[in-house]
Amino acid sequence: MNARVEQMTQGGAAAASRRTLYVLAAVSILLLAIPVFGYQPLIINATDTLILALLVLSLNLLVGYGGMISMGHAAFFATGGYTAGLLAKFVDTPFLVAFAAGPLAAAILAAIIGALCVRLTHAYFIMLTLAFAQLVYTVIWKWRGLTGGDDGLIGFSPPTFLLNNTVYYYFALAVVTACIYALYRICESPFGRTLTAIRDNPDRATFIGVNVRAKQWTAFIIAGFFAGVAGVLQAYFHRGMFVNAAHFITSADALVILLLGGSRWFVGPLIGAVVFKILFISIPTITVYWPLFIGLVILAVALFMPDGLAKFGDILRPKAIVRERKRA
Amino acid sequence: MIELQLISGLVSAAILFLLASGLSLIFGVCHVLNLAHGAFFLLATFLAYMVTSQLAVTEFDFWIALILVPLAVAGVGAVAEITLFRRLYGANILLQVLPTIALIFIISDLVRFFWGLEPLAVPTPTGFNFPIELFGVFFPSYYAVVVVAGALVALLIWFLVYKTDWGLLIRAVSQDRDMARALGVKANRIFTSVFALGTGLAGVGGVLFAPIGGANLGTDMDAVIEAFAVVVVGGLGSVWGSAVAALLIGMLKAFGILIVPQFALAFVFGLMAIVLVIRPTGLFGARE
Repeated sequence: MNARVEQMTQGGAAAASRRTLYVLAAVSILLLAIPVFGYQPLIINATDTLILALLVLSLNLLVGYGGMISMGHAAFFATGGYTAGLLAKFVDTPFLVAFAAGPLAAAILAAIIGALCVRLTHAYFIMLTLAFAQLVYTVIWKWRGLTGGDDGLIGFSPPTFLLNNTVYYYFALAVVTACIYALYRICESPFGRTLTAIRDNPDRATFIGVNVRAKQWTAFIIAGFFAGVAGVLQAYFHRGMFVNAAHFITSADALVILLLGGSRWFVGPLIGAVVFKILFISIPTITVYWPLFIGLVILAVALFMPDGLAKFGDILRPKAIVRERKRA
Repeated sequence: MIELQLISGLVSAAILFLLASGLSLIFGVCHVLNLAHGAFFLLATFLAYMVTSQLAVTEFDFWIALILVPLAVAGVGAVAEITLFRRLYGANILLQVLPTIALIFIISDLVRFFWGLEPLAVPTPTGFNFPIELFGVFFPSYYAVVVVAGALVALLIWFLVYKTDWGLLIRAVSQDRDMARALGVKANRIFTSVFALGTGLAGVGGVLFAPIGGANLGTDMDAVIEAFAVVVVGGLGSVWGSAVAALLIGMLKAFGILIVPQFALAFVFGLMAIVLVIRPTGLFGARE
């Protein structure tokens, strides 16, 4: 880059960071204001969207940053929720302990499954994550005595002050914001950069001394942990955990959201989650063929808009950088 | 008792082989991991129901279905390759995987639209609804049809891939598609025909499976997961690996049911984990 472009970029960067700040402020106000009107369906859907956003963002550490397409993220989501629910129901564990145990259990499961899955290339990774997740699904579904099978696991609830939807919304907002910040720091850390390097060229990363498998395994565990947090939030919010949380469709939806929002952009998945949730609520009022609809949407996005909504993210970037990038 | 498990193990091995060899071929040549492979299998079971129920007056309803349905499924596969997958070769892997998920959604939803949610029974072909005796046990004679058909298709694939000009081109394209193109091979035609062959094999599997398991929404995921297990154990891209692994897994499933009926699949996953630790690329897969 020559000096002139650099100058432009610096000026542009200041303007862009100002824009980012405005957008962040506007989004914060919007999020804080959602329960103000007391409209219950909005509060409930907003809470669900927060949980979904965290699930998808944790998956994006693998997909967007690590280049690993996990088809089994639902397994960790479900493990988090079921662990907390089972502890609360059968052992009468205090809320905070159960809340912490869920993500830990998910991380442990991720450590075991991940150790087998990161040994090989893309195609094997996809098949193995899908297969192991289906195993988790089958165990939850068939082990009726423990998990309630397809009736779901019910009979536990959060402390009384969290029974109010508005309060739970703010609780979820706080937890999800903290997790998003943690994931942001992880993505921007040297570890996150290393993951990106592995994604772009695993051979080169190996040459410069990166232990590729170990980094991928660590990413898999971290992603599993945060999916577990989302699972616990879901379990306590609905005061129950249901077997479809572990189903293939939950994992597939998360990937669809990544495609919609754009996976190479930190906030892409968050925007994707909002768009997906709005579609998911509004389309079934028009037609019962939701899977057909979302299938056609996937095909259209994959063929004609491969960057997803991330394209519009360029608004937040300095113009000179965008222009530079287009030229390159 | 053991003989009966042996025979039902062979039956599931035949169907697993049909599924996994198609999946393996498509991956080996087109480098697309077709998650919708089970959806093509599902489509075939319902088409088998449609053909056999329409032609129930004739004696040959099942055999007509066994010819027509795989052709129809192969046609769907070819159309999917031409309109969809061809545009995504070389794109990032998320963009290649998601359309196959989209196909799962679209196919299963269309099946629900045409045939509803209820499981449908497909009759055993006329002339094969009696039991036969072998080694002192009785088993449905239809099982023999499935095993023989599986073996014949395995021979046919071997012949196509190793003894015909077309097979030579397939092997050339799968080894080095750019070099093959440079030498004048019309690679696009090869891709389309391999997609059609692979999905057609899933179609044969679906038709053969229909009289045993019926036509059921939900078989798509079961089928693709078991095909994955076979491919992981046998090695991705190796048709022989698929054959050996299908036999191993078919037997494991059949005998696993005797020990823990609820979790027979656990044995399959156990085998998969052991193979992955000892020989990550599968029993017959090329080393990386």
